[in-house]
Amino acid sequence: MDVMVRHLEFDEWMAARLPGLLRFAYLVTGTQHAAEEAVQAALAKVYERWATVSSIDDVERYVRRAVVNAHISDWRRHGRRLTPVAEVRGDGHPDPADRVSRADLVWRVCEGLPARQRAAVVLRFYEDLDYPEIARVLDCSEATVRSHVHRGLAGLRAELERQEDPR
Amino acid sequence: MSEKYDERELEQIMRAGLAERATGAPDRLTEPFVGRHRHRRAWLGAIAAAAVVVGGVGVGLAVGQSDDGRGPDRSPTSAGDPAGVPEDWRAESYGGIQVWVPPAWGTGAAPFEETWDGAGELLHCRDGVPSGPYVGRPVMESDACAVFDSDRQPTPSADFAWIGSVVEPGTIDLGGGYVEETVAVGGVNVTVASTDADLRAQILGSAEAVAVDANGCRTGISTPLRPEGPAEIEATSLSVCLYETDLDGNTVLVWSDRRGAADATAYTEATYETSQLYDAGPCERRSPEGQWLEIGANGPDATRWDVVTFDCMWGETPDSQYPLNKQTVDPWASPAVKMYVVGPSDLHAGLNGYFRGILG
Repeated sequence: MDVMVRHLEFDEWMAARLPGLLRFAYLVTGTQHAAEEAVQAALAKVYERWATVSSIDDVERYVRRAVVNAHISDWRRHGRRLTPVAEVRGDGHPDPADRVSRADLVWRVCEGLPARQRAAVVLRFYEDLDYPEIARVLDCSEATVRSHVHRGLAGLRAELERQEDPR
Repeated sequence: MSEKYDERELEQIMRAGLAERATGAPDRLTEPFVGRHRHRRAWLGAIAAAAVVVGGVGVGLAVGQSDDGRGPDRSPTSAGDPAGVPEDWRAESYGGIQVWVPPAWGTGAAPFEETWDGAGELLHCRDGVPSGPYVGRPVMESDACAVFDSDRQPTPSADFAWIGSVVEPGTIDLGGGYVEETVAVGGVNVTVASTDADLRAQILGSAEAVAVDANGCRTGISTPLRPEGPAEIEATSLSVCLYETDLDGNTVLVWSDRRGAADATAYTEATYETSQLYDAGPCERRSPEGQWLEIGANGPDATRWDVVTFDCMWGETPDSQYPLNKQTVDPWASPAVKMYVVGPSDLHAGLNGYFRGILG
């Protein structure tokens, strides 16, 4: 493929997909900085292999996997650690005004999930991918994906019930 | 008891929560896309700009002996033991190159070329200036990095050897009587700095490329590993092999150790006992990525190779899985493990202090 054509095609694809990729990476990594890092690394890999990708579906899958792997790899390389979820405990006098919003609660639950579990949850409930496709992105079995998603929802249920009945 | 939220409600809450959270995501890159032009990544630029040069503070070194005085059962007569090296010296290897050093030498970090974006800057990332002699590998001991210039090195306060060195072959006078000499062995540079010319020559003379190092660890790994060997074994020593696999699947032996019969027995017993009630949950074996270990339980006639990974916080023997906890990690833990292995700390199974933690 001609280099200039490759640049143009890549630029066009990147312009269209960048906001979505950043949102996905933001949910997977948890911070703006880490999201940009992961997307930068993923885009670099996609660009290197742009001439050989066979379809946009492949690119989408590849870049999502690269974002997840870049995040996990970065954590390992630099010893970065997910902030453990802070358990919310009531004082026996639940006050609706003190309750965090459900969006905050959802995020707190997600923050407490291991990286791959969180990625599975984001791919399922934000990217709306089905289980087989998530398995292809994460390079694992469909059963593992289902388990990851189930655990995410179980965590959410526990947190919701804890918030509503803080004993 | 019926549950208050059914699956569909939970899914809706999850979807709504993630969608709302995503509104806080950036919609563009703060730094322009750098992959095409191979510019350095923003965070690394920030580290380099900060160029934290830590000086004047002596730090404890990881020495080849555990805190309780149990010395690893070195095997000076193993294959690869070069002639002329004192019997109590120990083997240290990185990337297929092995050298022998005096027993009191510790372990640490050597400068390396950052290759994450191809910028090729030389960095030395460590937790202070070592106060004693050490063997360094090209790893990040800390996120405090100084830009390394071989022509402008400070005078060291102790001898050192770097395996996988970024210093070009030759000799450099570091001042204070220290001479730094670098040779190429098997395509890898080995640097030794000392005031003692004989010691320098002896260490450099011991450097060699090996397929299996003196601790029993394979230096060339080209395929994802599986636990292998007899499930039950009367182990007389442990080979502890730390590997790192990058995103392209390249694997390097970062560090190795050999532990004695007592540790080998403690390890095999711990893996058996803890595997009995261990539920591995949804985790599944994957191709190794990042840091992982092979633990070889060496018997009289065979070796049982277990694989330890941190994704699932488990070890795998040929016929079982076991959790990483104090009981199963203690037999192979050491100050060098804490130096080189980025792992869990206080959040997991009483392993606080066994591994390198957050940011060094």
